[in-house]
Amino acid sequence: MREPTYFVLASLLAGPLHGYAIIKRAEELSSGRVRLATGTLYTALDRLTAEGYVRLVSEHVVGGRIRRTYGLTDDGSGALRAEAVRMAEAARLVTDAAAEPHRGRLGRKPRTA
Amino acid sequence: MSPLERRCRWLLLAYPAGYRRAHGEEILGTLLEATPQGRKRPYVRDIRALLVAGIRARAAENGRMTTAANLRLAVLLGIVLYLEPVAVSDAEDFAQTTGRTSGLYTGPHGVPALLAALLLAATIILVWVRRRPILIGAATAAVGAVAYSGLFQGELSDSQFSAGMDVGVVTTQLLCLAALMVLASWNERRAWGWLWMTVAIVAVFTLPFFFQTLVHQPHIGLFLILGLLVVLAAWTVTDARPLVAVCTYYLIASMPMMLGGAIAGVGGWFYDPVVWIFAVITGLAVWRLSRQSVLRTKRGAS
Repeated sequence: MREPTYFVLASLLAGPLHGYAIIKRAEELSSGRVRLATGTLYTALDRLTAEGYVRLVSEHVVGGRIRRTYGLTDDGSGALRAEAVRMAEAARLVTDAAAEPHRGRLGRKPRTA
Repeated sequence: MSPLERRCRWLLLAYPAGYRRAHGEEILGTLLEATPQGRKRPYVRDIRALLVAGIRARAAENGRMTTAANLRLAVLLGIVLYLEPVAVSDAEDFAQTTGRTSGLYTGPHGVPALLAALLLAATIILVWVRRRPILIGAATAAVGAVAYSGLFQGELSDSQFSAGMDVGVVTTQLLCLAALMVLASWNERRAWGWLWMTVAIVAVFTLPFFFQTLVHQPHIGLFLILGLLVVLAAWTVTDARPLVAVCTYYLIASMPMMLGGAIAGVGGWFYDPVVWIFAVITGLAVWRLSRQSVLRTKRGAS
């Protein structure tokens, strides 16, 4: 899962949001690192809707324009958690190694002369 | 409408029409919200993302049709590209008849030429209207008008090769009309944008010959045609159909020469490198098209 996709799904964890709110939430959650362009957001939403990870929750007219709200499906929620676990495990490889500096990269004691 | 909104609407043209109808206003709303007030242009990264997303959406749309359906549409466009200038030329023949001052002109003329022009134009438009019985009626009438005005009304040229070419031109037009009737029997949706695109391409092919005399640049037509081919070759990244259509057009346009050569027993077209170059480009474009299209039903599936 690519980082923008991850943050699009993560932004919907707290509840359904419309397009601009997803952009703002993803930026907040990533501490400003992921700044989604509008075109990128809707390409991602189309793909995630087709994959069954995101669903259209509601649509209403605001200021003469249609505004759609998107929400996370159970599959989307599951995929997001699975990705979070995978990233946490990947991170643990590094953080655990950093916590035990006397051990080598693969957990073996470094050879001494 | 603010300058920002106007520019954003222009950008949305990157998306296919169907997608724009479904999501255009929503994307526009988000884009305007995401752009700070007072700014007259969208950010460069938004422009880039919209263009890329629009092109991807277009490519995805091609992928919903089978290779055969995409190929049928491309060949249909190639035939229309060939028949549109023929209709214009028939109308010119009629105009030449009414306004001619010398008796030198011996080609098709009068009402049959005008009838051929009108019936060809009607047949082309009816392909898009998808009223098959009316289309077949118009195309059959066009066959009669083209055959009469081309073969029986004008005088055939003296030399065997030129006479063969004359017969080749009419035969090619009749074959094109027959192919249109066959291809129109598949009731696939044909967007009107494709028809206007062929009109634009014909204009690119035709107008240089008018400009040529105005700007005294003898190669302007060649440059424009080469430019068009380069643009269409680049566009195969998204959609190979326009390139297949233009190649089909060129191969159809070289048919009278082939038939003329065959009738005169010359067969010079066989050694024409341009025909072979176009044949190779057509092959590559069709291969690209097959990669962009969805596969036909799986083997064994209904």
